[in-house]
Amino acid sequence: MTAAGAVYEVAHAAARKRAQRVSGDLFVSGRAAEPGRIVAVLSDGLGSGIKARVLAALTATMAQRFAGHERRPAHALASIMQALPVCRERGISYATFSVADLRRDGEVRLVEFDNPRAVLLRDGRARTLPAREETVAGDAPYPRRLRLAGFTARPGDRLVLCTDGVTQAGMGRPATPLGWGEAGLHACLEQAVAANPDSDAAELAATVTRAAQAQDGGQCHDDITCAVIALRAPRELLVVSGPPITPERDRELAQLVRAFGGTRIACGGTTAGIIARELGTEVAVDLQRLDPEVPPCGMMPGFALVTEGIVTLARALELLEGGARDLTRDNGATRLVRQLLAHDRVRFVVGTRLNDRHYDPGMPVDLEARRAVVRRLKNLLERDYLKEAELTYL
Amino acid sequence: MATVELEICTGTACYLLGGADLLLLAQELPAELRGRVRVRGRACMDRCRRPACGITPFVLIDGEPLGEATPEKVREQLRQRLAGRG
Repeated sequence: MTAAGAVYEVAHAAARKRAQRVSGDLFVSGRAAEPGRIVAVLSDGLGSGIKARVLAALTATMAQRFAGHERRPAHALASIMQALPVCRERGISYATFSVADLRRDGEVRLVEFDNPRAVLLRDGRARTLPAREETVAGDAPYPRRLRLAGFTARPGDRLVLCTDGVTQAGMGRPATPLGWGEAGLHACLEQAVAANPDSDAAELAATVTRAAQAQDGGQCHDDITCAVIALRAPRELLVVSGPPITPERDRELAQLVRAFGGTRIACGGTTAGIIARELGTEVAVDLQRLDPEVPPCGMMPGFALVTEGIVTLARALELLEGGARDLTRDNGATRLVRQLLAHDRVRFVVGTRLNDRHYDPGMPVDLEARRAVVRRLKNLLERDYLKEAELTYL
Repeated sequence: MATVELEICTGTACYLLGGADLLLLAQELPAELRGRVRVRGRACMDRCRRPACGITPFVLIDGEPLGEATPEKVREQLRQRLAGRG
């Protein structure tokens, strides 16, 4: 997060080389030592399949951790490069890397090695960043060079990293004998944001990946990965769950909800009922699309989503812990997860009134876990999904 | 044709302790009830918190609460209501 309140949104999309089980590319991102700092790395391993993936994984995780602990990532990465082997037969390094160091004040530092050059998409125009090169000593038969670049990100900027599967897509075909190239990539990016100026990082990465695949008629001759880092004014989400500790504070909850300018979600029928009563509206329950996994959702004016409480929250946590891979079902938990992922900053407000009914020994689950589940959700969103999250009790 | 209203509580306690089965019943009403029962969901009525009100899960049939509701009991109550009206 920058001093101006903007946040980084990081996403990527990928397609595997056909007939391979695993991509030889890897993109990792995570928080670095200082608060608000994120380090993201894209690596392309030599060859294909599992072996390439292992090389990319070693390189990417080393680079991400090492660079995250150092104030001068270029220095750290030069050391890594000296340590990484060079294939004796092919004479090239075992893996490439592009490292983006995103700092809290909006300063972005890039260190790139052997990947296509990073693209800055600003005000609708795509361009590569000016960079200086540094040669790294080592026992490679060719001079290995790091590209070092930096810029100050502005809200609305997008930084795009990709592997050569993107720029070399379509190579050998009549329309693109030398591949899609930087020109093709840049044009695609400019068209995408012209058509949809508010597209988020995930959408843009997916658009590029699909377009690259299309260059080869839908086939994938090489692993394709595109990562997009956007700096944006945060999309804010409020999730309220649980009645306030005393009924006297019900009004406070309603006022908090009314004053909130972003998207609102209520998890819990009692909670929604309290808010509805205070705001003079009603909650309706939707029995149209039932999924046995999770209790039905409700609807209330001013709320994007109303769900049941603990069962839904616990299922959402489970989905997120599993990487949010399969959201094809439509129920309160998948809808909640989609909303959590679609916002940059989440504020959880948990009511702390004790639910005496839930102390029935016939109950199959420990329902006072609401506080624990929400706390785990908050931590997971911050750590693994790079969201900003806040949790307050009422 | 006389109809009857069935409201099923979808709060956590009711849902977990039998409410989910009632929702299934609502989706597949027996022939003699189909078309004559209006089914709606209801958010927690707070009956679960008060032992004097009975045992979960709860439904309301034409506004009257029925506790410890099972699909059989609910079907029976609905039939009786409709029979009473002709």
